[in-house]
This record gives sequence, C-alpha cells and structure tokens, in this order.
Amino acid sequence: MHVWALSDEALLAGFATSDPDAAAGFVRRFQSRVYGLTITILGDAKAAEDVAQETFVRAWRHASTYDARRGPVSGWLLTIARNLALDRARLKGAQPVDPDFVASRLEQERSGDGLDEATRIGDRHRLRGLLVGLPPQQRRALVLAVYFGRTAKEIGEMDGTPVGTVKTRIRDGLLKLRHRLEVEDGSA
Amino acid sequence: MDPPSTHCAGIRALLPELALGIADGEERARALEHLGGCAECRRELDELSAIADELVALAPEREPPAGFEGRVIGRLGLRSAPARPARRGLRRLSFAAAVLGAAAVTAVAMTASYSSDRHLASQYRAALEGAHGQYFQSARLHTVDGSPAGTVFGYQGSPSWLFYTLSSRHGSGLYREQIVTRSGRAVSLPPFRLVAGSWGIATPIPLRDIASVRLTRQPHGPTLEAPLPIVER
Repeated sequence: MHVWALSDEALLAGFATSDPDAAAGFVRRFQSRVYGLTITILGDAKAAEDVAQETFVRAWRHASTYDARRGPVSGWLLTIARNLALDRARLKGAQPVDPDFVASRLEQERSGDGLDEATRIGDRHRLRGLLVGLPPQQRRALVLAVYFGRTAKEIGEMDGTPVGTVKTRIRDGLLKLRHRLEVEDGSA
Repeated sequence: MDPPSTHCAGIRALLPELALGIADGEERARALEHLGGCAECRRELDELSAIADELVALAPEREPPAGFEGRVIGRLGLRSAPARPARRGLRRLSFAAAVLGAAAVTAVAMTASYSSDRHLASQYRAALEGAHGQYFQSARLHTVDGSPAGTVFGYQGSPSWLFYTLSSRHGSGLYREQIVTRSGRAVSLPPFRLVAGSWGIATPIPLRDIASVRLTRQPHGPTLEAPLPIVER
C-alpha cells in the first residue's frame, strides 16, 4: 500500500502515531496548501515557511482533537495555519499584503491547480468564481477578514467606511456565497 | 425577554463575523451565550463556518522551499525518536503496520487457498515475525439483512489493529465504530470519515477478545457487522 492510497483521515491517524512514512506522506500531501496560505497571509517567504512548519508540528501534537464530524482534515489543518499566520502577523505588526492583489491572485487561479484532485478542483473553482463575482467592496471586506483576520472596525478604519457598512458588506457577501452555492447545488 | 425569533434575528446578524473569526469580544460572548441554547442558530453558524473554511482553502497553492518536508520531520524528531505514548489508551493504526498488514493479509488469503505451499506459509510467518505479531484474520461485513458490505482484517500484535475495506456502495461517509467484546461489553471508538473505501485503526482491545465489530454510517445507517472467529493458538 502506498501513502497516496490512504484517505486524509487515515494518513492523519498514521501521522499521529509518529510513523515517519505517514508523517512524510502527510506533509507532502498538504505542504503546498499550507505554505500557499501562510505566504498569502504573511507575504514573507522565511516567516511563511516557519509558520508552515509550526502548523505541522501543532497538527502532530493535537491530532487527537481532530473530529471528522466537524469537517475535512484539510480545513482543520488550514485553520491551524491561518491562526498561526495571523498571530505572527500581529506579533510583527506586519503590513498585510494588499487584499486587492490577493483577490486578483485568486482570480488568476481559476484556470490553474493542475495537481488537485477532480472534486477539490471543482469545489474550489466554483467558490472562487463566486467570490470573484461579488461586488468589489464585499469581496474586499471578505478577503481582509478571511486572509488577514481584520475586524469590521479595522476594515472601516482602513477604508474610511462606517463600521456598520463594513459589517453589512461582510454579512451580505458571505450570505450571498452561501445562497449561490445552494442554488448551484440545487440545480446540479 | 425577546421572543425567540426576534432574538435569533439579532444573533444571526453576528454569525458571519463569528464564522470568520473576527467578531469582537462582546458580540462573540453574546452570540455564544445564545448558541448554547439554540440549535437553529448553531446550524446556521456551522453552515457559515464551512463556507469560511472553504474561503481559507482558496489561497493559491505554492510549493515551499526545497527540503521543507525534511525540516518538518526533523522538528518532530521522528527519524530517531520512538513513537509517542498512546493518547486516551488508544493508538491509531501505524502506517508501517498497515503496509506490513496489507502484504501479510495477501499472504494469509493465499495461504488459506494453497495451504500446502510452503513458500507462501513462509511469507506469512516472516510478515508476522517482522512486526512481532501473532496472527492475522479476516471476516465478512454484512448489513442487517445479510447483504455483503465488505471485509474487516484483524491483526493481533502490538498494537492490535483492524482494517476495513467496504464495497463501493458503502465506500464513503462518516461512520461510528463499535467493538463488542466476548464478554458482551460494547466499546465505541472515535468516528471516522471513510473516503476511499478503507480505514484502519489500532484497537485498545486484543483481537482475541473481540467478538464482533459494528460500523454505523451517520446519521441514519446502515449498520454493518462482522463476527470475528475465535483463533486457537
């Protein structure tokens, strides 16, 4: 049996037992997603690698807290990476990467991702397309919240916009994404 | 006190920020207090949180600098350190055991069919010796109406483990796993999500003490069961 034949959950279970082969397989499977996220948030290769490494260390230490009922392994792992990267950004007082640049990167990715498995490609491209299709102010507010952990108050101060308006943009943007996903699922 | 619907409406306005992890302390506390007693709002939060997770996963993939994997393994000290002690008395399937098991299970099946074949028997013994194991066994999984649903492979060793392969009809979804001992005690193991039709887990109960295993697909079934034969040693 090859590690690539194992499900994400089985590989995580092997990783948790400290098996070197399973650990290497787990890191190889997720490293580009984890590093891609940390460098998106931090914009600095050295800090991004350090946080990505720490993400796998935390995952190894806390593998027993993973609950399959709460979502896939990738979501659990990327949440760890996001939180660590946001902590590092706050600690360093780092200036976030321009959210409009991030949004444009997301749009360019629509035809990429050649290594992803078919399902993940489909789901990600669909959501990416919906995000890119949001009104610019809603998209910007969501990108700042998701990738930079900015609160509505902070976004309002950055953009000179009343906090209530930012809250509405965030809420409308997220609810619109959910609604459109539901509509597409219903018509599939 | 507000009527529930009014109260829910007020809380739901906060849920997107809560799902994105950016709600401020006061609003977060207020929402969490309400969520503790409102299943509808919890469901709403779960849905929004799932979308928030998917948004996080949209970050463009990028390969880290060369040698990244080795540096992570080095930080974990896995090349030289022994395995960590079990958590909560349960150790999950060792990948090495899975690899060995897959080879040995093949040897078991072949040995059963060609018991006179000393070469295959020798392979089986070598596989067991390599892992300090005692025996392998397998049993058919059936639904409650007797339809075949897959196979469970068992390994008596240190640790002992179970490995499931399910037919394509049952090959995905969230499953609850339960072991019934020969004394009649039912032991629940952590639920798992079956993706590619197979799953393995180390069991805290020696294989010889297991009377049967049950898998129940969540949330509404079906339940699959396999009685494990007694192995005389």
